Amino acid sequence: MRPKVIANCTRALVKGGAHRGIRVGSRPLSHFRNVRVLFGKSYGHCEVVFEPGTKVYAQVSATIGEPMDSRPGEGVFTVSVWVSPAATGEMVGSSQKPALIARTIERLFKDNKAVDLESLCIRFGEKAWILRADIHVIDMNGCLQESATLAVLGALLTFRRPNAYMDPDTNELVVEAIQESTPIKLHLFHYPVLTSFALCNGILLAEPNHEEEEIFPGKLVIGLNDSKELCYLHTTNIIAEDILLEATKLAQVKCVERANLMKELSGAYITDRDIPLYLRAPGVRTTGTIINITDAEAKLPSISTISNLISPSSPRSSSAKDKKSSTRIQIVPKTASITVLEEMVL
Amino acid sequence: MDEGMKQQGLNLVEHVGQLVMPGDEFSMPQDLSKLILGPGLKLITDRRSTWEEGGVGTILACKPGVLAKVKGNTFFVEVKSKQYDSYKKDDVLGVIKQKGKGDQYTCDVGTKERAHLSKFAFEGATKRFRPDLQVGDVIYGKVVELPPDFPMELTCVHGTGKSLGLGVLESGHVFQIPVHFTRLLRSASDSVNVLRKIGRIVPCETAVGVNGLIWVKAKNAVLTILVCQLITKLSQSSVAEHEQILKQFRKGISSLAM
Repeated sequence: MRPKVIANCTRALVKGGAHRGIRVGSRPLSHFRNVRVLFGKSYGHCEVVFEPGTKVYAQVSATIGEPMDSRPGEGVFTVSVWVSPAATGEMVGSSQKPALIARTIERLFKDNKAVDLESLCIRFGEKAWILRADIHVIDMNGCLQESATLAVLGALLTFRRPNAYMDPDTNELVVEAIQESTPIKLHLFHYPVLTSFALCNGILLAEPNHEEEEIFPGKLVIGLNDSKELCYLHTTNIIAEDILLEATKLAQVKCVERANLMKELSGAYITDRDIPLYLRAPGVRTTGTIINITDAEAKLPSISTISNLISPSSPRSSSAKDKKSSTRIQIVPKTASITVLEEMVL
Repeated sequence: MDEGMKQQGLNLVEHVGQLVMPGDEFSMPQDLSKLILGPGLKLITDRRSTWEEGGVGTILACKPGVLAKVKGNTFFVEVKSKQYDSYKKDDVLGVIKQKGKGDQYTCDVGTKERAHLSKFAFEGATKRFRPDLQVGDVIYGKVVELPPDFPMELTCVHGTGKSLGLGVLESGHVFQIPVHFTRLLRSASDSVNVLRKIGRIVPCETAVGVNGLIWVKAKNAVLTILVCQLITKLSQSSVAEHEQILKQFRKGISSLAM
């Protein structure tokens, strides 16, 4: 089965709409996607939904094995990606998407030294923790790398491993049961997050959907960490300097915001999770916590925002507004579902 | 067999509006006049004697969903799904995928299998005069042949030789909506069908395929996009909310025109 063919009329409409500053998917040009995060029952399980239509889950697990010969003092971080054929409409193996996602995540978390692999060494050259991130793409509507990165970040933040050490007397490996000792969390040096833009003759479309990715020739993927450091930049087309700078500025706001939110959400989830059963309020315990990261008023596309865009103001000016946007985060703890509201002050 | 898992000998009429799971078996109803089984239900006859001879048959549900009955004696399972399963006589929207050297086009209608469209299956097409379609063109066709091991056959012309709305669709926009929502958009009743209400606010041409694709064309590109956004929004909300969303839309459109 081949990937979907995009109709010529849709192609023309999406291109024409982008020049007028209107998008088919009910978002303004510089509006990023709404993100929903769900943490699972087990440690290191995170599901990320990039609305509309992209759903990725990541599971981080750890086993004890031998470190690599080239890096005997470090643990190993491996990534495996499974893209469901039901999600993309492509046969398994024919698509380059899994390789692209795996490479991106390796670059962000391993090559950029986001995960502290040295702390995963148990005995030099002999025993080390082998981290494994399994990424499953359940549904696809563009922005796969971005959603997968966020899912892996969430999974790494909520992952806990048991304590393991070499007994000095007997020279044997001792792994303490995770129920009996305090689980150890991974140490992350920084928190990389990706955003992307589709490029259309100098116009930037934030986080394109699948159709827009196919229609517009260029895509710019920018990754920044929580301390505003650029750690990933990938483009598939020639790009002017001023547009790149503008895109980076837009991405900076969003990436930092998402990284900080993810930190807070995973922290809130872990504290909620660690409350023992006898201290909980009576009622059914939910397995995961649904957390919404939503843009202001973006729940339903409102006609008024669209009509503002159609009025003569150029798409550039609307993106300039976004730069000034500040966010207010409000966490309502101690409930089954934690809702995070973000208000964009324009 | 685990008791309680598979339901057998259910009454088809009494079960309307309830959840059915694949494998549930219904006994044949008393009233057999014009009994039509729609998507999700399958008739299994006893091998030893055919149904016409008075043999006992059973009706098997093969999809999960809510059992529904429409006027007359027609039953089907209302499935909420994104994936389209093809049936004969379905009106579908397709995108031309390949322009074969022979006398047929290959279309993408959202199924796993391919769909073929003959180059002569258009109104007034002859060997000399026939529409020349390009890859990516949108057609509104009907499923005529659905052989089990071959690609399905589409047509853009009715048996009378007239197109009656089928054919090539130009400009506008094609997008995906859930398959179960198309049933609502294609229903004849004026109270349920939101497309008519939209048409009163923004005059537009639409073609709804049961395969979950919908084509919309309004006066200009902006209005087309707005209508598409509205339909997507309606497909994600419940029927009770439709009236309010339409009201909001009407307000937005009137402010646009000012």
